[in-house]
Amino acid sequence: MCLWILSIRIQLKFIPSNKIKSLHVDIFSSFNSTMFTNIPFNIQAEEPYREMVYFPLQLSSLIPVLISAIAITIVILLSLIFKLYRRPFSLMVLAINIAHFLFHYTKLDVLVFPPYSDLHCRVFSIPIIFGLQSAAAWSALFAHAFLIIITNPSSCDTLLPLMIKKYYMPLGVLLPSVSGIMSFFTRHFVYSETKGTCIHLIYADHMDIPFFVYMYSNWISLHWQYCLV
Amino acid sequence: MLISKIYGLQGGRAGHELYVLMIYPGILLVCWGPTLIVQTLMQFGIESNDMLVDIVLLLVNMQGFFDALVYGKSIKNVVSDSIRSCLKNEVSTEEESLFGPQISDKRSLGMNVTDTYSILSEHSEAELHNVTKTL
Repeated sequence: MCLWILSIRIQLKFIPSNKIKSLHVDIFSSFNSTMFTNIPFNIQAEEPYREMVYFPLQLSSLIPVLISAIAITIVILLSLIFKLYRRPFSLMVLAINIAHFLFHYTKLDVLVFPPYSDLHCRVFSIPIIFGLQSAAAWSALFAHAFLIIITNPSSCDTLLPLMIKKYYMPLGVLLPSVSGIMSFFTRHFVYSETKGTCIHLIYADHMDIPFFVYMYSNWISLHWQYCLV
Repeated sequence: MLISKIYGLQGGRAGHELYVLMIYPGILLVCWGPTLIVQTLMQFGIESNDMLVDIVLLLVNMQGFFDALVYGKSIKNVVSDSIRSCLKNEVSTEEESLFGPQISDKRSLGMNVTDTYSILSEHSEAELHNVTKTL
């Protein structure tokens, strides 16, 4: 019964294509399939899939990552040298850049430590998901803080530091940390023997729940910012 | 909401604040929007070519650069201010050596650049303060 509940199957009647007749919402697709050998969660293994290389090994593919990493490093160094983090807003800008720093330098890590196993890729997914979500969260919180300051300018030095400690830190650090740790268990990235690096598998006719969950923070952040602006 | 407030406060002029506020969601949309669309389409069984996937991933990887560029603009002002203050210091040291120690006392009263920095420009902060006072 429990297993039946877990295997949610949504009929997509509103899509006319013959190709897309059903959509399997496979919650445990990303968990280790050996844990669920007797249940039909590993149907993806026979399905066609597409590999998204999130950790390219060639230097030419890493050029955009390198450009971003250099720019972020400069901003972080200047923020630290000039002690800009003393101001609440600048502290938030620094937090955004630290999140990006984690995201991009983890990608560059493959140059030093080339991935060799599934476990390695799963470890890589922690800072990647954390960085992605934390940057999105902090930017939304930045817009929120800005709204507070606009409505009550005197609260910049009194209310804002308190809010950062009380509310923004859990939202900008704790929640993304939980997501990052979760990504380790959901196998967001897996090791590809053929490509020799970490990839994200996208199966046709299957909803990638972890991907949407991790991306959701970005869209909440975006929606929030547009609502504020 | 914010735009109208800032517009009202600044007398219809959009400042650097608006630029930062508007551009960050824009960057998020440009960098992650195509990835989300492409990956969703793939999940619906629609094939996409390698070139498109590469472009989409390139945009994801450029997000840090764009963000650093946006937020770096405010940091640029601080750096230029500090360079200017350094140059002033040099000039005043020369003056001090020429005219005596009284100038150094005046210089010591000057504020440190790092202490006065804000993501809001000084001009905007002053305007904001004045407008809220009148309100």
